[in-house]
Amino acid sequence: MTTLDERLAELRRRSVPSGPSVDGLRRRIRRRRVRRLAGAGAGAAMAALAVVLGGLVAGPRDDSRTVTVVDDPTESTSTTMSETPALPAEAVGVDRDGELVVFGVPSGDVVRTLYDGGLGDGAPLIDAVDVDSEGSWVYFSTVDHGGELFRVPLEGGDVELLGPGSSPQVSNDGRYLAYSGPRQSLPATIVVRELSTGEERRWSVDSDDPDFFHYNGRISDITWSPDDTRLAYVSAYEGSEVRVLDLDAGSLSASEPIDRITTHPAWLSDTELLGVRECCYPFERDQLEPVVIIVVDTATGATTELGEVVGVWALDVTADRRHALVGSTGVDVSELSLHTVEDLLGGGTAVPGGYRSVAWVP
Amino acid sequence: MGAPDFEAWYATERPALVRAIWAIAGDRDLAADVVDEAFSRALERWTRVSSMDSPGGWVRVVALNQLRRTLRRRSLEARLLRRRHERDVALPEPDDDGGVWSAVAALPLRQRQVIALRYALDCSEAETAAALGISEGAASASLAKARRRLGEVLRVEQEVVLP
Repeated sequence: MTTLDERLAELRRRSVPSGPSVDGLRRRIRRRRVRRLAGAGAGAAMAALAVVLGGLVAGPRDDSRTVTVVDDPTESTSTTMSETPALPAEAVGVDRDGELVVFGVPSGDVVRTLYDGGLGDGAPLIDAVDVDSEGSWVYFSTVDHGGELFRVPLEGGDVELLGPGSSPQVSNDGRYLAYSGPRQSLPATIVVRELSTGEERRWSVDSDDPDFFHYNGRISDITWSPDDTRLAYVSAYEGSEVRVLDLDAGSLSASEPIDRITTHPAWLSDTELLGVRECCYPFERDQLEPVVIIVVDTATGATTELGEVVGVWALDVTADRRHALVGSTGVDVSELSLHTVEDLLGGGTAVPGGYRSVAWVP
Repeated sequence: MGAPDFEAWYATERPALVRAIWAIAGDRDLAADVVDEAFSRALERWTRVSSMDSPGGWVRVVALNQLRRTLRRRSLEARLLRRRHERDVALPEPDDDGGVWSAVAALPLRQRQVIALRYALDCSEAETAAALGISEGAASASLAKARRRLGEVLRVEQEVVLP
Protein backbone atom coordinates (compact mmCIF):
# COMPACT_ATOMS: atom_id res chain seq x y z
CA MET A 1 0.00 0.00 0.00
CA THR A 2 1.19 3.49 -0.79
CA THR A 3 2.46 5.38 2.20
CA LEU A 4 1.64 8.95 3.04
CA ASP A 5 5.24 10.02 2.51
CA GLU A 6 5.20 8.50 -0.93
CA ARG A 7 2.07 10.41 -1.78
CA LEU A 8 3.43 13.63 -0.34
CA ALA A 9 6.56 13.20 -2.42
CA GLU A 10 4.32 14.11 -5.35
CA LEU A 11 4.55 17.67 -4.09
CA ARG A 12 8.18 17.67 -5.24
CA ARG A 13 7.49 16.30 -8.69
CA ARG A 14 4.90 18.55 -10.24
CA SER A 15 6.25 20.55 -13.17
CA VAL A 16 6.28 24.30 -12.73
CA PRO A 17 6.26 27.04 -15.35
CA SER A 18 9.65 28.41 -16.21
CA GLY A 19 10.46 31.70 -14.59
CA PRO A 20 11.66 34.96 -16.06
CA SER A 21 15.30 35.45 -16.90
CA VAL A 22 17.48 37.53 -14.62
CA ASP A 23 16.92 40.43 -16.99
CA GLY A 24 13.19 39.81 -16.59
CA LEU A 25 13.60 40.05 -12.84
CA ARG A 26 15.46 43.33 -13.31
CA ARG A 27 12.57 44.68 -15.35
CA ARG A 28 10.26 43.58 -12.59
CA ILE A 29 12.34 45.50 -10.06
CA ARG A 30 12.15 48.59 -12.19
CA ARG A 31 8.39 48.30 -12.62
CA ARG A 32 7.97 47.89 -8.89
CA ARG A 33 9.93 51.09 -8.33
CA VAL A 34 7.78 52.86 -10.88
CA ARG A 35 4.64 51.62 -9.17
CA ARG A 36 5.97 52.74 -5.84
CA LEU A 37 6.38 56.21 -7.25
CA ALA A 38 2.81 56.21 -8.43
CA GLY A 39 1.33 54.74 -5.34
CA ALA A 40 3.06 54.50 -2.04
CA GLY A 41 4.55 57.95 -2.20
CA ALA A 42 1.27 59.40 -3.07
CA GLY A 43 1.23 61.87 -0.34
CA ALA A 44 3.90 64.33 -0.75
CA ALA A 45 6.12 63.49 -3.58
CA MET A 46 3.99 62.31 -6.43
CA ALA A 47 2.17 64.14 -9.07
CA ALA A 48 1.33 60.70 -10.18
CA LEU A 49 -2.07 59.78 -11.34
CA ALA A 50 -2.94 56.53 -10.18
CA VAL A 51 -6.14 54.49 -10.84
CA VAL A 52 -9.49 53.91 -10.58
CA LEU A 53 -12.13 54.43 -8.50
CA GLY A 54 -15.62 54.72 -8.35
CA GLY A 55 -16.45 52.17 -10.84
CA LEU A 56 -13.25 50.84 -12.09
CA VAL A 57 -10.98 48.65 -10.15
CA ALA A 58 -7.63 47.46 -11.24
CA GLY A 59 -7.02 43.88 -10.44
CA PRO A 60 -4.43 42.84 -12.88
CA ARG A 61 -0.73 43.14 -12.99
CA ASP A 62 -0.12 42.91 -16.68
CA ASP A 63 -1.67 43.45 -20.04
CA SER A 64 -2.85 39.89 -20.35
CA ARG A 65 -5.51 40.36 -17.73
CA THR A 66 -8.47 42.64 -17.80
CA VAL A 67 -9.62 45.62 -15.86
CA THR A 68 -13.10 45.34 -14.48
CA VAL A 69 -15.27 48.10 -15.84
CA VAL A 70 -18.61 48.33 -14.16
CA ASP A 71 -20.29 50.67 -16.57
CA ASP A 72 -20.19 50.14 -20.28
CA PRO A 73 -17.25 52.32 -21.36
CA THR A 74 -18.43 52.59 -24.92
CA GLU A 75 -21.79 53.88 -23.88
CA SER A 76 -20.29 56.20 -21.31
CA THR A 77 -17.81 57.63 -23.78
CA SER A 78 -20.25 58.24 -26.58
CA THR A 79 -22.56 60.14 -24.29
CA THR A 80 -19.74 62.22 -22.94
CA MET A 81 -18.18 63.03 -26.27
CA SER A 82 -21.35 64.34 -27.83
CA GLU A 83 -21.79 66.80 -24.99
CA THR A 84 -18.21 67.99 -24.85
CA PRO A 85 -16.47 67.95 -28.19
CA ALA A 86 -13.39 69.72 -26.87
CA LEU A 87 -11.91 66.55 -25.37
CA PRO A 88 -8.20 66.43 -26.21
CA ALA A 89 -7.20 63.36 -28.14
CA GLU A 90 -3.81 62.84 -26.55
CA ALA A 91 -1.99 62.97 -23.27
CA VAL A 92 1.56 62.54 -22.10
CA GLY A 93 2.48 60.13 -19.34
CA VAL A 94 4.89 57.57 -18.05
CA ASP A 95 4.22 54.01 -19.09
CA ARG A 96 4.81 50.84 -17.11
CA ASP A 97 8.41 50.67 -18.21
CA GLY A 98 9.11 54.20 -17.07
CA GLU A 99 9.22 55.67 -20.57
CA LEU A 100 7.76 59.10 -21.30
CA VAL A 101 5.26 58.73 -24.13
CA VAL A 102 2.44 60.49 -25.92
CA PHE A 103 -0.62 58.27 -25.91
CA GLY A 104 -4.12 58.40 -27.32
CA VAL A 105 -7.14 59.03 -25.13
CA PRO A 106 -9.03 56.86 -24.45
CA SER A 107 -7.32 54.21 -26.60
CA GLY A 108 -4.11 54.24 -24.59
CA ASP A 109 -2.18 53.56 -27.80
CA VAL A 110 1.34 54.93 -27.79
CA VAL A 111 1.68 57.71 -30.37
CA ARG A 112 5.40 58.25 -29.85
CA THR A 113 8.07 57.86 -27.23
CA LEU A 114 9.60 61.09 -26.02
CA TYR A 115 12.16 59.82 -23.59
CA ASP A 116 13.41 56.30 -23.22
CA GLY A 117 14.09 56.63 -19.55
CA GLY A 118 12.84 53.25 -18.60
CA LEU A 119 14.77 50.07 -18.66
CA GLY A 120 18.38 50.97 -19.01
CA ASP A 121 20.49 50.51 -15.93
CA GLY A 122 20.59 53.71 -13.97
CA ALA A 123 17.89 55.37 -16.04
CA PRO A 124 16.08 58.03 -14.02
CA LEU A 125 12.53 57.59 -12.77
CA ILE A 126 10.11 60.28 -13.89
CA ASP A 127 7.80 61.52 -11.13
CA ALA A 128 5.99 64.51 -12.65
CA VAL A 129 4.98 65.65 -16.13
CA ASP A 130 3.35 68.72 -17.64
CA VAL A 131 2.72 70.05 -21.13
CA ASP A 132 2.76 73.78 -21.87
CA SER A 133 -0.43 75.46 -23.05
CA GLU A 134 0.91 75.82 -26.59
CA GLY A 135 1.52 72.12 -26.85
CA SER A 136 5.16 72.77 -27.69
CA TRP A 137 7.13 71.42 -24.76
CA VAL A 138 6.80 68.62 -22.27
CA TYR A 139 8.32 69.39 -18.90
CA PHE A 140 9.16 66.60 -16.50
CA SER A 141 11.19 65.85 -13.43
CA THR A 142 13.06 62.80 -12.27
CA VAL A 143 13.82 61.65 -8.77
CA ASP A 144 17.57 61.39 -9.29
CA HIS A 145 19.96 63.68 -7.45
CA GLY A 146 17.15 65.08 -5.33
CA GLY A 147 15.12 65.95 -8.40
CA GLU A 148 16.09 67.21 -11.84
CA LEU A 149 14.02 69.16 -14.34
CA PHE A 150 13.98 68.42 -18.05
CA ARG A 151 12.02 69.38 -21.10
CA VAL A 152 11.57 67.76 -24.49
CA PRO A 153 9.64 68.94 -27.57
CA LEU A 154 6.17 67.43 -27.73
CA GLU A 155 6.88 66.38 -31.29
CA GLY A 156 10.01 64.58 -30.14
CA GLY A 157 13.66 65.56 -30.09
CA ASP A 158 16.53 66.14 -27.73
CA VAL A 159 15.90 66.15 -24.02
CA GLU A 160 17.16 69.29 -22.33
CA LEU A 161 18.30 69.35 -18.69
CA LEU A 162 16.99 72.51 -17.04
CA GLY A 163 18.56 72.05 -13.61
CA PRO A 164 17.64 70.87 -10.13
CA GLY A 165 13.97 70.82 -9.14
CA SER A 166 10.81 68.79 -9.36
CA SER A 167 7.06 68.96 -9.96
CA PRO A 168 7.17 71.31 -12.98
CA GLN A 169 3.93 73.03 -13.99
CA VAL A 170 3.53 75.59 -16.75
CA SER A 171 1.07 78.43 -16.11
CA ASN A 172 -2.15 78.47 -18.10
CA ASP A 173 -0.96 81.48 -20.10
CA GLY A 174 2.25 79.63 -20.95
CA ARG A 175 4.52 82.36 -19.59
CA TYR A 176 5.80 80.82 -16.39
CA LEU A 177 7.17 77.52 -15.16
CA ALA A 178 6.58 76.73 -11.49
CA TYR A 179 8.56 74.01 -9.79
CA SER A 180 9.79 73.02 -6.38
CA GLY A 181 13.38 73.24 -5.27
CA PRO A 182 15.48 70.12 -4.91
CA ARG A 183 14.22 67.68 -2.33
CA GLN A 184 16.07 67.46 0.93
CA SER A 185 17.36 70.97 0.54
CA LEU A 186 16.16 73.47 3.09
CA PRO A 187 14.31 75.66 3.17
CA ALA A 188 11.55 74.24 1.03
CA THR A 189 11.16 76.47 -1.98
CA ILE A 190 8.76 77.06 -4.83
CA VAL A 191 10.28 78.72 -7.87
CA VAL A 192 8.45 80.50 -10.67
CA ARG A 193 10.56 81.07 -13.77
CA GLU A 194 9.51 83.38 -16.57
CA LEU A 195 10.16 81.23 -19.59
CA SER A 196 10.98 84.05 -22.00
CA THR A 197 13.61 85.70 -19.80
CA GLY A 198 14.70 83.01 -17.34
CA GLU A 199 14.02 85.41 -14.49
CA GLU A 200 12.97 83.64 -11.31
CA ARG A 201 10.95 84.40 -8.18
CA ARG A 202 11.25 82.18 -5.13
CA TRP A 203 9.03 81.50 -2.17
CA SER A 204 10.56 79.77 0.85
CA VAL A 205 9.60 79.12 4.42
CA ASP A 206 10.53 81.94 6.78
CA SER A 207 13.60 81.06 8.79
CA ASP A 208 11.83 82.09 12.01
CA ASP A 209 8.83 79.91 11.24
CA PRO A 210 8.36 77.57 14.23
CA ASP A 211 7.52 74.79 11.78
CA PHE A 212 10.60 75.46 9.73
CA PHE A 213 12.24 72.16 10.42
CA HIS A 214 9.15 70.24 9.52
CA TYR A 215 9.43 71.45 5.97
CA ASN A 216 11.77 68.80 4.71
CA GLY A 217 11.86 70.02 1.17
CA ARG A 218 9.17 67.71 -0.12
CA ILE A 219 6.92 70.02 -2.03
CA SER A 220 5.08 68.40 -4.89
CA ASP A 221 1.92 68.39 -6.98
CA ILE A 222 2.21 72.08 -7.83
CA THR A 223 -0.70 73.28 -9.91
CA TRP A 224 -1.69 76.73 -11.17
CA SER A 225 -5.10 78.21 -10.53
CA PRO A 226 -7.02 78.90 -13.75
CA ASP A 227 -6.31 82.64 -13.44
CA ASP A 228 -2.60 82.01 -12.75
CA THR A 229 -2.63 84.02 -9.53
CA ARG A 230 -2.17 81.16 -7.08
CA LEU A 231 -0.44 77.84 -6.78
CA ALA A 232 -1.84 74.84 -4.98
CA TYR A 233 0.78 72.39 -3.81
CA VAL A 234 1.36 69.55 -1.41
CA SER A 235 3.80 69.97 1.42
CA ALA A 236 5.17 67.27 3.65
CA TYR A 237 4.37 69.03 6.89
CA GLU A 238 2.61 66.65 9.31
CA GLY A 239 2.02 64.18 6.55
CA SER A 240 0.65 65.58 3.34
CA GLU A 241 -1.23 68.83 3.14
CA VAL A 242 -2.61 70.80 0.26
CA ARG A 243 -1.73 74.47 0.62
CA VAL A 244 -2.45 77.43 -1.59
CA LEU A 245 0.19 80.07 -2.26
CA ASP A 246 -0.95 83.47 -3.40
CA LEU A 247 1.79 84.79 -5.66
CA ASP A 248 1.52 88.15 -3.95
CA ALA A 249 2.59 86.55 -0.68
CA GLY A 250 6.11 86.94 0.52
CA SER A 251 6.82 83.40 1.66
CA LEU A 252 5.47 79.90 1.84
CA SER A 253 4.69 80.42 5.49
CA ALA A 254 1.74 82.56 4.40
CA SER A 255 0.08 79.64 2.67
CA GLU A 256 -2.35 77.89 4.94
CA PRO A 257 -3.22 74.22 4.67
CA ILE A 258 -6.71 73.82 3.26
CA ASP A 259 -7.21 70.38 4.68
CA ARG A 260 -5.17 67.94 6.68
CA ILE A 261 -3.75 64.79 5.05
CA THR A 262 -4.98 65.76 1.63
CA THR A 263 -3.18 65.25 -1.65
CA HIS A 264 -3.48 65.66 -5.41
CA PRO A 265 -4.94 69.15 -5.74
CA ALA A 266 -6.68 70.05 -9.00
CA TRP A 267 -8.41 73.35 -9.69
CA LEU A 268 -12.00 73.16 -10.87
CA SER A 269 -12.38 76.95 -10.99
CA ASP A 270 -10.57 80.00 -9.63
CA THR A 271 -11.97 79.27 -6.19
CA GLU A 272 -12.75 75.56 -6.18
CA LEU A 273 -10.00 73.09 -5.50
CA LEU A 274 -10.43 69.36 -5.71
CA GLY A 275 -8.42 67.22 -3.33
CA VAL A 276 -8.06 63.71 -2.02
CA ARG A 277 -8.51 63.40 1.73
CA GLU A 278 -6.79 60.35 3.14
CA CYS A 279 -7.50 58.55 6.35
CA CYS A 280 -3.98 58.74 7.59
CA TYR A 281 -0.44 59.42 6.60
CA PRO A 282 0.80 57.69 3.46
CA PHE A 283 3.14 55.35 5.29
CA GLU A 284 0.28 54.21 7.52
CA ARG A 285 -2.40 53.50 4.98
CA ASP A 286 -3.07 50.54 2.78
CA GLN A 287 -3.46 51.35 -0.89
CA LEU A 288 -6.97 49.96 -0.81
CA GLU A 289 -8.01 52.07 2.13
CA PRO A 290 -10.85 54.30 0.97
CA VAL A 291 -10.14 58.00 0.45
CA VAL A 292 -12.60 60.87 0.28
CA ILE A 293 -12.76 63.21 -2.67
CA ILE A 294 -13.38 66.74 -1.50
CA VAL A 295 -13.92 70.14 -3.04
CA VAL A 296 -12.63 73.10 -1.09
CA ASP A 297 -13.87 76.61 -1.60
CA THR A 298 -10.58 78.46 -1.20
CA ALA A 299 -12.36 81.73 -0.57
CA THR A 300 -14.36 80.52 2.41
CA GLY A 301 -12.55 77.35 3.44
CA ALA A 302 -15.78 75.38 3.17
CA THR A 303 -15.26 71.75 2.27
CA THR A 304 -17.69 69.51 0.43
CA GLU A 305 -17.27 65.76 0.32
CA LEU A 306 -18.05 64.30 -3.10
CA GLY A 307 -17.74 60.71 -2.05
CA GLU A 308 -15.50 57.86 -1.08
CA VAL A 309 -13.32 55.89 -3.44
CA VAL A 310 -10.73 53.19 -3.08
CA GLY A 311 -7.02 53.40 -3.65
CA VAL A 312 -4.54 56.13 -4.12
CA TRP A 313 -6.22 58.66 -6.29
CA ALA A 314 -5.30 61.62 -8.42
CA LEU A 315 -6.40 63.40 -11.53
CA ASP A 316 -5.50 65.83 -14.25
CA VAL A 317 -8.26 67.98 -15.69
CA THR A 318 -8.45 69.56 -19.11
CA ALA A 319 -7.95 73.29 -19.49
CA ASP A 320 -11.70 73.75 -19.94
CA ARG A 321 -12.29 71.82 -16.68
CA ARG A 322 -14.63 69.44 -18.45
CA HIS A 323 -12.76 66.16 -18.45
CA ALA A 324 -10.34 64.46 -16.16
CA LEU A 325 -7.92 61.63 -16.42
CA VAL A 326 -8.27 59.80 -13.16
CA GLY A 327 -5.71 57.41 -11.94
CA SER A 328 -5.35 55.18 -8.98
CA THR A 329 -3.15 52.43 -7.80
CA GLY A 330 -5.22 49.34 -7.30
CA VAL A 331 -3.82 46.10 -6.08
CA ASP A 332 -0.54 46.09 -7.88
CA VAL A 333 -0.73 48.42 -10.77
CA SER A 334 -1.54 51.93 -11.87
CA GLU A 335 -4.43 52.31 -14.24
CA LEU A 336 -6.06 55.31 -15.80
CA SER A 337 -9.62 56.20 -16.68
CA LEU A 338 -11.34 59.05 -18.48
CA HIS A 339 -14.15 60.88 -16.73
CA THR A 340 -16.27 63.94 -17.10
CA VAL A 341 -15.73 66.32 -14.21
CA GLU A 342 -19.39 65.90 -13.29
CA ASP A 343 -18.90 62.17 -12.97
CA LEU A 344 -15.57 61.81 -11.27
CA LEU A 345 -16.81 59.02 -9.07
CA GLY A 346 -18.55 57.14 -11.83
CA GLY A 347 -17.27 54.34 -13.94
CA GLY A 348 -15.43 56.36 -16.53
CA THR A 349 -13.68 54.80 -19.48
CA ALA A 350 -10.60 52.72 -18.98
CA VAL A 351 -7.46 54.03 -20.67
CA PRO A 352 -5.21 51.00 -21.09
CA GLY A 353 -1.48 51.15 -20.65
CA GLY A 354 -0.94 51.67 -16.97
CA TYR A 355 0.11 55.28 -17.41
CA ARG A 356 0.89 57.53 -14.48
CA SER A 357 2.06 61.11 -14.04
CA VAL A 358 -0.12 62.12 -16.95
CA ALA A 359 -0.82 65.51 -18.46
CA TRP A 360 -3.22 66.45 -21.22
CA VAL A 361 -1.92 67.62 -24.57
CA PRO A 362 -3.78 70.89 -25.29
CA MET B 1 28.92 37.77 -5.13
CA GLY B 2 27.82 38.79 -8.57
CA ALA B 3 25.05 38.10 -11.00
CA PRO B 4 26.35 34.65 -12.11
CA ASP B 5 26.01 33.37 -8.55
CA PHE B 6 22.52 34.71 -8.36
CA GLU B 7 21.53 33.13 -11.65
CA ALA B 8 22.66 29.68 -10.58
CA TRP B 9 21.02 29.99 -7.18
CA TYR B 10 17.82 31.26 -8.74
CA ALA B 11 17.67 28.40 -11.23
CA THR B 12 18.19 25.86 -8.46
CA GLU B 13 15.86 27.27 -5.84
CA ARG B 14 12.93 28.54 -7.86
CA PRO B 15 11.11 25.33 -8.90
CA ALA B 16 10.76 23.95 -5.37
CA LEU B 17 9.65 27.29 -3.98
CA VAL B 18 7.00 27.63 -6.70
CA ARG B 19 5.71 24.16 -5.84
CA ALA B 20 5.55 25.02 -2.15
CA ILE B 21 3.73 28.30 -2.67
CA TRP B 22 1.49 26.60 -5.21
CA ALA B 23 0.53 23.99 -2.63
CA ILE B 24 -0.33 26.74 -0.15
CA ALA B 25 -2.14 29.08 -2.55
CA GLY B 26 -3.78 26.47 -4.75
CA ASP B 27 -3.03 28.63 -7.78
CA ARG B 28 -0.04 27.95 -9.98
CA ASP B 29 0.11 31.32 -11.71
CA LEU B 30 -0.24 33.18 -8.46
CA ALA B 31 2.51 31.05 -6.95
CA ALA B 32 4.85 31.73 -9.85
CA ASP B 33 4.18 35.44 -9.60
CA VAL B 34 4.72 35.55 -5.87
CA VAL B 35 7.95 33.59 -6.15
CA ASP B 36 9.26 35.73 -8.99
CA GLU B 37 8.55 38.79 -6.89
CA ALA B 38 10.49 37.26 -4.02
CA PHE B 39 13.47 36.45 -6.25
CA SER B 40 13.42 39.92 -7.76
CA ARG B 41 13.70 41.30 -4.24
CA ALA B 42 16.59 38.95 -3.60
CA LEU B 43 18.29 40.17 -6.78
CA GLU B 44 17.75 43.75 -5.69
CA ARG B 45 19.60 42.99 -2.44
CA TRP B 46 21.86 40.24 -3.70
CA THR B 47 25.04 41.51 -2.10
CA ARG B 48 23.42 41.32 1.30
CA VAL B 49 21.26 38.25 0.71
CA SER B 50 24.11 36.21 -0.74
CA SER B 51 26.17 36.77 2.38
CA MET B 52 23.44 35.39 4.65
CA ASP B 53 23.67 31.96 6.22
CA SER B 54 20.57 30.87 4.35
CA PRO B 55 19.61 32.89 1.28
CA GLY B 56 17.01 30.22 0.62
CA GLY B 57 15.45 30.84 4.01
CA TRP B 58 15.32 34.54 3.30
CA VAL B 59 13.59 34.21 -0.05
CA ARG B 60 11.21 31.65 1.46
CA VAL B 61 10.05 34.13 4.08
CA VAL B 62 9.75 36.90 1.51
CA ALA B 63 7.60 34.67 -0.70
CA LEU B 64 5.35 33.65 2.18
CA ASN B 65 4.90 37.27 3.21
CA GLN B 66 4.22 38.28 -0.37
CA LEU B 67 1.63 35.54 -0.70
CA ARG B 68 -0.08 36.63 2.49
CA ARG B 69 -0.22 40.25 1.32
CA THR B 70 -1.49 39.29 -2.11
CA LEU B 71 -4.25 37.06 -0.77
CA ARG B 72 -5.23 39.69 1.75
CA ARG B 73 -5.49 42.34 -0.92
CA ARG B 74 -7.45 40.11 -3.24
CA SER B 75 -9.83 39.31 -0.46
CA LEU B 76 -10.18 42.97 0.50
CA GLU B 77 -10.69 44.04 -3.07
CA ALA B 78 -13.31 41.35 -3.59
CA ARG B 79 -15.19 42.52 -0.53
CA LEU B 80 -15.04 46.14 -1.62
CA LEU B 81 -16.22 45.29 -5.09
CA ARG B 82 -19.09 43.27 -3.76
CA ARG B 83 -20.04 46.12 -1.47
CA ARG B 84 -19.88 48.75 -4.16
CA HIS B 85 -21.07 47.01 -7.23
CA GLU B 86 -22.54 43.79 -5.98
CA ARG B 87 -20.23 41.98 -8.27
CA ASP B 88 -18.01 39.17 -7.27
CA VAL B 89 -14.39 38.76 -8.09
CA ALA B 90 -13.15 35.26 -8.56
CA LEU B 91 -10.53 34.23 -6.06
CA PRO B 92 -8.20 31.43 -7.04
CA GLU B 93 -9.79 28.04 -6.91
CA PRO B 94 -7.72 25.18 -5.62
CA ASP B 95 -6.43 22.78 -8.21
CA ASP B 96 -8.57 19.70 -8.29
CA ASP B 97 -6.57 16.73 -9.45
CA GLY B 98 -8.31 14.31 -7.14
CA GLY B 99 -5.02 13.59 -5.44
CA VAL B 100 -2.54 14.88 -2.99
CA TRP B 101 -2.57 18.45 -4.28
CA SER B 102 -6.29 18.88 -3.81
CA ALA B 103 -6.09 17.14 -0.45
CA VAL B 104 -3.42 19.60 0.66
CA ALA B 105 -5.44 22.49 -0.73
CA ALA B 106 -8.35 21.50 1.49
CA LEU B 107 -6.29 21.79 4.67
CA PRO B 108 -6.40 24.88 6.89
CA LEU B 109 -3.79 27.50 5.97
CA ARG B 110 -1.27 26.71 8.70
CA GLN B 111 -1.36 23.03 7.91
CA ARG B 112 -0.96 23.75 4.20
CA GLN B 113 2.05 25.85 5.00
CA VAL B 114 3.83 23.25 7.06
CA ILE B 115 3.08 20.47 4.57
CA ALA B 116 4.28 22.61 1.67
CA LEU B 117 7.47 23.63 3.41
CA ARG B 118 8.20 20.15 4.68
CA TYR B 119 7.44 18.17 1.55
CA ALA B 120 7.73 20.54 -1.40
CA LEU B 121 10.75 22.39 -0.09
CA ASP B 122 12.24 19.65 2.08
CA CYS B 123 12.55 21.99 5.03
CA SER B 124 13.37 20.65 8.47
CA GLU B 125 10.97 21.42 11.29
CA ALA B 126 13.34 24.10 12.49
CA GLU B 127 13.42 25.69 9.03
CA THR B 128 9.65 25.41 8.73
CA ALA B 129 9.17 27.07 12.09
CA ALA B 130 11.61 29.84 11.20
CA ALA B 131 9.93 30.50 7.86
CA LEU B 132 6.52 30.79 9.48
CA GLY B 133 7.70 32.64 12.54
CA ILE B 134 6.35 30.02 14.93
CA SER B 135 7.92 27.69 17.45
CA GLU B 136 9.20 24.28 16.46
CA GLY B 137 6.60 22.75 18.74
CA ALA B 138 3.79 24.56 16.94
CA ALA B 139 5.22 23.54 13.58
CA SER B 140 5.46 19.94 14.71
CA ALA B 141 1.90 19.93 16.04
CA SER B 142 0.53 21.42 12.83
CA LEU B 143 2.46 18.92 10.78
CA ALA B 144 1.09 16.02 12.81
CA LYS B 145 -2.47 17.29 12.41
CA ALA B 146 -2.01 17.80 8.72
CA ARG B 147 -0.55 14.34 8.22
CA ARG B 148 -3.37 12.78 10.19
CA ARG B 149 -5.94 14.57 8.07
CA LEU B 150 -4.19 13.74 4.81
CA GLY B 151 -3.91 10.11 5.84
CA GLU B 152 -7.66 10.00 6.32
CA VAL B 153 -8.44 11.75 3.06
CA LEU B 154 -5.93 9.88 0.93
CA ARG B 155 -6.53 6.56 2.75
CA VAL B 156 -2.85 5.73 2.97
CA GLU B 157 -0.63 4.34 5.68
CA GLN B 158 0.65 6.74 8.27
CA GLU B 159 4.33 6.84 8.95
CA VAL B 160 6.39 8.45 11.62
CA VAL B 161 7.65 11.81 10.43
CA LEU B 162 11.38 11.81 10.15
CA PRO B 163 13.04 14.72 11.90
